[in-house]
Amino acid sequence: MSAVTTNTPAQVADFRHRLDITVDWLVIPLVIMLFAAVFSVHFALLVGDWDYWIDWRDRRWWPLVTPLALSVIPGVFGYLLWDRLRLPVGGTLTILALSAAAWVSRYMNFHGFGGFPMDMVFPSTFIALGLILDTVLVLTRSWFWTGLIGGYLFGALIYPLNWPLLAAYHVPLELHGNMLTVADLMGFEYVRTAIPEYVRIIEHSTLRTFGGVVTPLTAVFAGFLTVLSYWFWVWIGSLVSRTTWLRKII
Amino acid sequence: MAATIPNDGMTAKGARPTKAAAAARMLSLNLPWGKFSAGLVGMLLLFGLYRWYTEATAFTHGMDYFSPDFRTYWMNLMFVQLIVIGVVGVASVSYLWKTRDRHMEALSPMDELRRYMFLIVQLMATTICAYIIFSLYAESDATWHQITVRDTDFTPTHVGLFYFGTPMTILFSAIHFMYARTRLPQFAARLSVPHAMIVAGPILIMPNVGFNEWGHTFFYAEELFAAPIHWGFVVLGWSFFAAGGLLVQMFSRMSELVRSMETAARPA
Amino acid sequence: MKILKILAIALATACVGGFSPLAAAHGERAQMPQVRMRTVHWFDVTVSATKLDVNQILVVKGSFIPSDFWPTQFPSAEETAFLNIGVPGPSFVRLDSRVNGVPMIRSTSFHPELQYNFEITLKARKPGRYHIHPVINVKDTGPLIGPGLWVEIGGDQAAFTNTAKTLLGQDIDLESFGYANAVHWSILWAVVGVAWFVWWLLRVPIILPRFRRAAELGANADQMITLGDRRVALGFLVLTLSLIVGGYMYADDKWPITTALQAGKIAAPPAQRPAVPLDVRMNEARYRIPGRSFRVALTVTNRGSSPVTVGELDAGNVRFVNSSVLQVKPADADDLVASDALHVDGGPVAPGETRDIVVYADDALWETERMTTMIDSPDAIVAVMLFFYDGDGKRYPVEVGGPMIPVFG
Repeated sequence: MSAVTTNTPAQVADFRHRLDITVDWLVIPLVIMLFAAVFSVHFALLVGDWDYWIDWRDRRWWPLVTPLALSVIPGVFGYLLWDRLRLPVGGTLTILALSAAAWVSRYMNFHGFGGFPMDMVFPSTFIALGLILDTVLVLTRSWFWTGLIGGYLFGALIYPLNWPLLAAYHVPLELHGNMLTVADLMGFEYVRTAIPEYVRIIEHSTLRTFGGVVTPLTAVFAGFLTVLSYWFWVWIGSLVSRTTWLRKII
Repeated sequence: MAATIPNDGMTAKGARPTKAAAAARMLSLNLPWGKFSAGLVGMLLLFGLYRWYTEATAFTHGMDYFSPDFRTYWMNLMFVQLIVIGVVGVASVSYLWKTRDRHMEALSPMDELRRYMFLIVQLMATTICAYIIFSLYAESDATWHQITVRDTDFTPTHVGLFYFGTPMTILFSAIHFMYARTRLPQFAARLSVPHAMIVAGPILIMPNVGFNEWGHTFFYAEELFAAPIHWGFVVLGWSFFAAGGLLVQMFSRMSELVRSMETAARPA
Repeated sequence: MKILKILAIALATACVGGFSPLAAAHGERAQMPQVRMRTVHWFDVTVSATKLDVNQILVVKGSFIPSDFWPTQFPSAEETAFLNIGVPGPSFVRLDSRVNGVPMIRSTSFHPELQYNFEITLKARKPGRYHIHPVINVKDTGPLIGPGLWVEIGGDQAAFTNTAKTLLGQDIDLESFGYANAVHWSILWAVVGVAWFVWWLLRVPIILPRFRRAAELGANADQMITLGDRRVALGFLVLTLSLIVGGYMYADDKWPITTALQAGKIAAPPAQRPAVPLDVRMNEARYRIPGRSFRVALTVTNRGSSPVTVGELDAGNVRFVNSSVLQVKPADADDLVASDALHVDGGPVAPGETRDIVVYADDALWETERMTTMIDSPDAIVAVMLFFYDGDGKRYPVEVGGPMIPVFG
């Protein structure tokens, strides 16, 4: 039985506090799952193969395609979290959710279901890039500067960030009279029936040697593209955060 | 807005302040946490069982669409799951419509808040489902395609991803959409565009599967996962961006409701 | 109800783990017959063992000839192709893969009418029973599958080893190389990322209170960011950048010699083919649906010194054998050999003679392998590989092709 009575301000204040906590308990896991879901499908179908296989992470395309696709979700949800809650966690939290989902999926699918050794299919690390966006946002409190500084570093630093994980796989070895990297050898030995070697979209050559400098050129270009990408997706974030209502469907 | 709100379990002043009494004195949404947890566990069990079945039979009985084994282990499963999901979907949506609140103008802030919490729980179930589908099931399909030769449109991982997981996401989406339309005043009075977008995305995945299979049949032979033929799924996944707008709509209204309770409780 | 019953049986079977027999096909029956008949002709495909243990070596050998009737709507193997192996997942690792003695570690080109002999050396990795096919992946055409043979691997996957030596002299285990290092770095970054999130979580409840506060403050919502937040953010930024730079320097120091992923094509030399002293023209091909009978009318000119006759007709990995010329038994239950399915009207063609002969390949395999769907194709042109045999048992492979007419009655 419920009686209809007037409540005291203290009761309502207490209720509000508990409601706030309950909303946190439900909505924080909800948005983390949401980020994991959206980011996973987005990343799988735009970067996927480059991040699935150790022999796809090259110097030309992987560091270019990855930040371009990776900056989308931090831009969109970063706007929401900052604009409506002043929570500068859009970069870190979305990428943490992606990383957690990627590790679970690589282990369960590529390793468990497909049978590949984990050293061939582990995900790259991107969390630092989210941290850069979020911390620059707190320090500048400006989308312009966050895009310009944070976005640039986001694109430019993806390769050095992952180099401690990847360098070992770029050590050369010899197979039947050909030089390969360790990653190439793994790609050759661990049979992929429907992903033959030629499907890899990787650097085939350069026109100029630039004193051996290849990756920094990609980094500079990736930084530039990511600035534009981040600004664009922040703008999209501002559109999708709107509370649009229609009187009727048609 | 009504100046009074239902207050469950008030205790008389001066009563011994036991823990139960203290709890009873509080305003409460009385959310059925046990049921929520049971629903979550049930959902995880269902997806877990499905995954186990996939691992147990995919490579042994799911490699060739034209084999009798495939019919037994996979096509039958597909037909049954589509029928069950369809029936449950129609029944749930019909039930929500039939039992819709016809007197929403009389809804108390507390009850409306309670309904918002139910909507949040339903959204959570949908996002858990979406996570499982968009990450685990989608990448099991990626794994499958990269280590086997493409069969017909029906493979074990497609049956799981497109004919179980996606319909399940649509089912959850349809339920929370209809729940909001029939029980929450602002969602009943007008159409929330963000809400409609996050429901439309999963629904449109189904016709996009048609495009995907058309492309793989006619012109796209490789299984590069990041190929343009798959980008339609990306765009539909982006429909979930609108969750931002939906949450803002919900939080705004929830804040208004709490404010109305505060106003009502303020001494004259 | 019947469906439910069958489903229940399938689930019950799954529960007790009684999965057998295994499915043999790998999706090739879904490929249209023209793709199977007019792209690559495989022959003499063998495996060195049908039973072996983890870590033991399996050699898959055989030959193939790319078709001269390659459908123009599909990119040809002359562009980019890769010799592959069809097994579900890395049940084996591929130690070597050669075409005419040249290692095929990357992609190559294969030319029509030339013969390529291949040899793929595999090492058993994961116990199970596998249907192994040689495969040629052709860019934008997809996987073209060769004949499949069953191989069973016994033993324990835990015992599997796969090592290599780098050019710097380091011995590495490819099953786990660098993985612990990658895990450590990933955990480190996850900890830093979670720490940043926790800094903001510390002030829970954070959603509705901050939502209300930001709405109240409007354009001044930046006030919600405190000096402490800014200091912590600066700290995290410095830490992040330092760790990136430090990590890069550490990696550069630990692995000073690295190189780029290797790409580029490898040339595959064709094998020397013995001259074929025959001119063969296909005059007509008809497929009679009720009898599952494929009839090819040919004009054969024998320029050799011994009479020749057709001993075998291969169409899309299905072998129709003339038992009066050679005896071939299927290697296993799923080997697509019809041992007594080829009949020749017109007898052997004598040296110097030009004669019209008719070859009949009649077997249910046309149906079970779904080759019959060729009658429903927008490109009703077929090609088959004929193996002529002379009096000394010498074999002459000849490809013929052309339009196919279905016979419905």
